[in-house]
Amino acid sequence: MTSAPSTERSRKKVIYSSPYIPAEWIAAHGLEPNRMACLSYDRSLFVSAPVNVEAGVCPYMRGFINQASSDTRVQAIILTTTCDQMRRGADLISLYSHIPCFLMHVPASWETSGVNRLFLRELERLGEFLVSLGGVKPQPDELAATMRTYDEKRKKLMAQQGMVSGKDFAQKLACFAETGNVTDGREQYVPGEKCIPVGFIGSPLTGNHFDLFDVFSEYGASVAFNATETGERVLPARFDLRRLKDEPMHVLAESYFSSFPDIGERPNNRIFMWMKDRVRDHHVRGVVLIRYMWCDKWHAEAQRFRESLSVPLLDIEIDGEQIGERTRNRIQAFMEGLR
Amino acid sequence: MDRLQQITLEECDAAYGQWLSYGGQAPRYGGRLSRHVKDGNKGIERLKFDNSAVAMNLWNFLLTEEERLREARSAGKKLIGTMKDLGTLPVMVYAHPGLVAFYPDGAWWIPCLMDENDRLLEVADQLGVDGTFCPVRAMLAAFVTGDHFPAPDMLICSVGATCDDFSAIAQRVEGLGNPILWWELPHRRALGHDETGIELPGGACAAKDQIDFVKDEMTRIIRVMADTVGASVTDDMIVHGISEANKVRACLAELRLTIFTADIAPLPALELLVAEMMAIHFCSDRDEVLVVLSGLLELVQQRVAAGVGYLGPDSVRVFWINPVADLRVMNMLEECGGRICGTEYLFTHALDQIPTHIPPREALARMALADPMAGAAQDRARRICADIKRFGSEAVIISRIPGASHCALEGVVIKETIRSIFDIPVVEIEVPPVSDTFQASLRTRLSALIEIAKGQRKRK
Amino acid sequence: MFYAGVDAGSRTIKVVLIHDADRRVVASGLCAQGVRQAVLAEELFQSVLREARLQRNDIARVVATGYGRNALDWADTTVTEITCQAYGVRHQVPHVRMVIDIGGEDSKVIRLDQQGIVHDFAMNDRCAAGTGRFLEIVADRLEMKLQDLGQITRMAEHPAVISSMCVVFAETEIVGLLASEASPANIVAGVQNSIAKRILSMVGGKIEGPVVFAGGVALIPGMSLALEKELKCPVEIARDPQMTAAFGAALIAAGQKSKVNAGLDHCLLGVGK
Repeated sequence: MTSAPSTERSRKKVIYSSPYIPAEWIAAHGLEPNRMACLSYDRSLFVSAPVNVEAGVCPYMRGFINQASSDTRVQAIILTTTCDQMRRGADLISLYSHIPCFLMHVPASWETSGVNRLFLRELERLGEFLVSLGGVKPQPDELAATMRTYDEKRKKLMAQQGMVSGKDFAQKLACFAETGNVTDGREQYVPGEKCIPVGFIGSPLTGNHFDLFDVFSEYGASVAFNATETGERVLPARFDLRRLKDEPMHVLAESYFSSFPDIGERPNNRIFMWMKDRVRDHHVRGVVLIRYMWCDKWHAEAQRFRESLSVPLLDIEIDGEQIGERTRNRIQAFMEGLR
Repeated sequence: MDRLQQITLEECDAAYGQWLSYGGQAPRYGGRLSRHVKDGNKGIERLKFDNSAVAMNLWNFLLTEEERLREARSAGKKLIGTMKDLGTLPVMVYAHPGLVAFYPDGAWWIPCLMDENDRLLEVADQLGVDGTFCPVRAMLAAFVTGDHFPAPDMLICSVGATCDDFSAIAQRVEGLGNPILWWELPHRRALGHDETGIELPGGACAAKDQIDFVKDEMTRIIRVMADTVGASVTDDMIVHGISEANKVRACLAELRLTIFTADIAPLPALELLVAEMMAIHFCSDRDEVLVVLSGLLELVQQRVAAGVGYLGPDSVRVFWINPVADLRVMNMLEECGGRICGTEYLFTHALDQIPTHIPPREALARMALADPMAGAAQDRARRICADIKRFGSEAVIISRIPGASHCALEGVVIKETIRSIFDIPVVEIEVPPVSDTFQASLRTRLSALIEIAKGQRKRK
Repeated sequence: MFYAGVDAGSRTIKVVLIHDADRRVVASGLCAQGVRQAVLAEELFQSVLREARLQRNDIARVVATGYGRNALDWADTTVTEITCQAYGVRHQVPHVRMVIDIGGEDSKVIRLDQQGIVHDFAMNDRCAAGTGRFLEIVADRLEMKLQDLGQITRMAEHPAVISSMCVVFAETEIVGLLASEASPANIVAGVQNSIAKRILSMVGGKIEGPVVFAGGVALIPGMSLALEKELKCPVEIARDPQMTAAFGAALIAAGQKSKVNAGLDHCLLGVGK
């Protein structure tokens, strides 16, 4: 069995989009995990597909797949079934791209032991795919060591929350997701006295949409928590170190599958309870739902968030464009209302 | 050769009266179709119908489903709302004599049938589920108003390898206080190198561990159903249920084959769509649906034998992909010179025979995994292409469901697969639940498709 | 013998009369579409007849096409504008393989095979963002005439990026661009690029030429260049691009009547209303 090249520079990336994919599992196989931060929305043709289509296609999915498919350092793409659009994106990649693609079934239901076993089995199957790329199946202690490393890094990362601005923290999260590195904190961030704390929730943010933090800041907000799909909500829980030595795979599966609430899980009451706790704990005065056009799962729940949270909700729909005047107007009006 | 003409609602009523006077025997749910207009189904005034008593039975059977559900409840039966899986769970549910299954999903036709007088789409809008969602959003509103079906005693919904829009809407149904038993349908994946696949009905393949997983889900559903509604479904009951379901499926298979291979279309596209939809939950009466469909089959066979049908032998043979929320569009096909010659309405697994040589829960698991939406779009495309070849279709219509998360990209894969194999025109149309303002645009697309197909005939 | 084609479009009505012998255009006319579609079309038809010094009974057959074709009950047949456009363009450019038709409110891409038969088409869906309507909105915002838009695009140095999918939202973007002092030239060029991108979206990956541009928007200078830039191939503008569908309808009328089975005249015999 061929092992993966050992130098950082020569390692090709295994790209993935979903927080359900454990980076440590990929890293333990000797490959480079990269939860790619999609830079921007891209309207160009899909992955050399013979026809293009815009209506009904999530701009994030399109941008992600186009970016991943055109990066020459990408060795493989891992997608999950948590998003039906990504599931269909996997069809396009398998038809029109030469990059190996793995579609992992992440169960939507979560309340039975059967689906927990299913998730574990899917991780094992992912492992087989990684081996086919040239990865080496790790021994349990190798996996455990990798998991400890990542666990420590996440601990170090989370220690910086609240110490840096919301945007800085979001960027640190994105950097960690892409590279596995935790950047050091800068000077401690202290939000202005008159800053109104708000919380974000929703779809994954692209590189372009980090500007949202600046826009909110411009209108007097500080982002107290980021519960988007690229935010801290989707970090797995700390590993149970007592069990790590003997059953690292089970610990890995449990942490990734069960520990963070998600809008797409069925039933999804956990995320509403989680949000209420976050609103209370961070003393936020408003919540911002950021979602993409054609993303049904977030869109359908906007009203439920509005009704269940004790603070006002701003619903921002992104169709892939830069943060335009329409969005800025909404943000400004929202912040004026919170004052 | 006799050319049949579709008739209006008014003509239906007149013909019905005549038929009765000649001694025609209407079933208990029979009657003039116009009575359904008085019940609120104003949309049927704009439809055109097949000119036969059998078709009247079909429509009456469809439009009296709500009454049947209420009668079943009054008779002490439990109502199980099965959602999304489109064909598998009702086989299990109907296996028990005390249970009736139906798909609340079917509410998606209500805005069309009731000409929006029901206000379901408005109610859905008020709930924040607007027109960018799939027309099945009418189902959410139907749960709120309670006007269209009795509140089920239990709701069961498949998730996982299903579309996001339905999943989101079903979750909102639960969020409004309707507990749902969710069950997982895994994405039907490609087989690994060392894996042996098990062939499913319809030709797709699945890994054994996936079938085992779904079988366990079926077992869990049976257990929870017993706890919730007090009805225990045994394997022997399911075996019998499968046998009965297979009779319905066999009848439909024969009906489709007869229609698709006839020289002249013996039944309009609209009635065939309604008939196919009966497969998924038997329109809440598994015994009577067989009577209705058998009548339709007999009619079609007679017409074929007599050389009688709609349009002429020069009508373009069209394969139709995906169901439409506005039924008028099916009438439009014939108006533009096309006839149905192949269909794939997202539930082909409800049309195939359920295996009887294996344990019943495994049989149901295989059916569930055979769902065309559970696997890759390429699998769906392959089956469609096989049917195009089998039925000799000359043109293809892909009807995109507005707001459906899977349609945009699936359409690309299916269209390109068809084009790579066949030299026939393929057009995509989008049909909203009430397509009044798009009638001209839809008509242009259908007409252009027919023109192209005819032009290609001459070339060949 | 003479034949007539009537294109009752969403914004304008066009009538073309041709001579049987050589399919030459003997007269044509255009008027704005309105509420009384059938009446307006009939009036235009009569006006064109007068121009040609012909009577109604000199016209052997009339084919109607376009959005409002079914309202013209005095036409002998209706045929979709997809087919008519293909006929009309193919008569001018015999080897055409793709026709791009951008009208006031819709746009189409029509593919023809090597024998000149239409084998595929795509149309814009409900949004008007890839149509002439978008240019009208821009002209309005810039307080310019539609026909003058093309001239200023030559001065564009940095075409604006219009990213909204919806033309209404795109209008808001244009307001924003004007507020940030973007030049009208760059804005117009940006809009043309946006329309061209929409067309590219309909065309997909496989482009076979010759590609011919028809429809009213083809009259606006700069639009064909924008298409060439996106499609990365030459785009020829049809002669009298606004009239090609009506011309095609007239050709079909001639083909139906005479049942000549040459060239294009073979695929629509017997297509009735």
